[in-house]
Amino acid sequence: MPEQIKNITGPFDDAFAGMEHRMATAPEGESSVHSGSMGGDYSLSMPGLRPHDDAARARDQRGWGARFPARTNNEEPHRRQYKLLCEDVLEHLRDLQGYIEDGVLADDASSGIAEIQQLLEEMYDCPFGQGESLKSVVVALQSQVHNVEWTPVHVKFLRAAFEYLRRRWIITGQTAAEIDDIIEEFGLDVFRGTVSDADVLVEYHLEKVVRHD
Amino acid sequence: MFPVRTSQRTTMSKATTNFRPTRFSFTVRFVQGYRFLDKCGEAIVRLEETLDPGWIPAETIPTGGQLRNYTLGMGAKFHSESLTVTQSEFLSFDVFHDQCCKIYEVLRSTFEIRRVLTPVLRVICQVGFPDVEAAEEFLRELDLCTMDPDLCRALGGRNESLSFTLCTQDDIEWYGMDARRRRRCDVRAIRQERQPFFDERLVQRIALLPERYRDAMQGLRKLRTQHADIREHAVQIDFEDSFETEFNSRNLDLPTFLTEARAWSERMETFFLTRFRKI
Repeated sequence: MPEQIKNITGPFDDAFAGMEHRMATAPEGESSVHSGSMGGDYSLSMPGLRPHDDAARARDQRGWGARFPARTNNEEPHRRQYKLLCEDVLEHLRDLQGYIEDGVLADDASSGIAEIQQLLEEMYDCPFGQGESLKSVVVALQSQVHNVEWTPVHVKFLRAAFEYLRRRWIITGQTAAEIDDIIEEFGLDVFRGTVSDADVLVEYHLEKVVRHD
Repeated sequence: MFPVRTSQRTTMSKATTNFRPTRFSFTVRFVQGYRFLDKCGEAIVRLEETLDPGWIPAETIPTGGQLRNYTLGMGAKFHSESLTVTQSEFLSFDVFHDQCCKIYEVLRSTFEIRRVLTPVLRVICQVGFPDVEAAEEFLRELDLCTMDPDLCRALGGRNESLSFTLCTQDDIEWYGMDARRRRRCDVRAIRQERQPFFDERLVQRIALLPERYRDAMQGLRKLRTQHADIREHAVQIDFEDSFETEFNSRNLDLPTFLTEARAWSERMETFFLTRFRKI
């Protein structure tokens, strides 16, 4: 580049180089946006490692050292695990669609059902979410699909539930309540398997007694 | 060697800051968000418990909830009709993305919002100049639009300032949902005054503040001594990506929307940087 032009483009060179680097190093098909969202602490004492790490740059500009950002990076590995589980379940549910004929789920679907139930168990052990909220969600799902003969309604219910779950950024105490809403929307029994289950109610009979005084 | 007009050299060499984002802003509208009137307090408590440390209420009044996090440079405002989250000065999109999604989830479930409308992400970029004339000259050199000479003659005088706004829209299928995507690019020269953050709690006795407020005020004191390089005169380019569509609140994939919108704004920044290099 001619000498006299180099200085002219000075204010934009850094920004352009940063943009080019981010776009070039982003994995194919992904945005370069989350280039800095890896777990663990970063330090600009190793500038060559992540030269365009937005979070680290913002942290150092504010002078907050290793305390910035706070929780974001700690959650990321668990969130990835959770999202992968959701995607796996949805993929198996899509496969189950092929086993539905005349409104009935074929017996051949049993292996797919077993896979989904195994994935639910893995999700129960996943540390993502506030406290044990994710466990409550899994228990709510399992209450509908354990020890029952699956029908297309169960497949549709799980698909709706996991389409909802995979879009969630956090799991809170309210998430299980929203799963209950989805259960009711599909005409399933929210109280199935609980002490409020209609099957375990004690039956009373009232008998008229005629008194002869 | 290729010829360089003297006016171009003067314009570009006068830029005093890099072209970079200075503000992120996310907005979404609520449909039937009236439970805000019943549950504003509960929402603020849940937000304080869910979000990163440093979020404190700015003011608690019936017409709207407002929280700030001086450490992260972020603010959130919400009421029965909408939620707006912003980040300014020292930007980190990862953090902004994370906090936006959490705030949205907490409010969506607390207010039992079933439907939402028009999620919008705005990315505002600026490049500073020493005076408004240099900024206006730079805008003209960008050659983003041509002025009608007949209009100029009818107005009389010489062109003093120019601003440019372009909106595009497209009906698309977005992850199985029909949506109308709208994108806007607004370019103008601006004049801005920096106002340091101030919070009344800065001057209150420490012993009267809850512990989480003390940490936030300490952060604010520190931040008031550090300033992002924001110039009084600048060329501002505002990128806005939105869906002018009503969504089921459960089905709106907000994390993906924010990521894709930011990726688009990055492509637009590259476009403008390439344009800057050509002039």
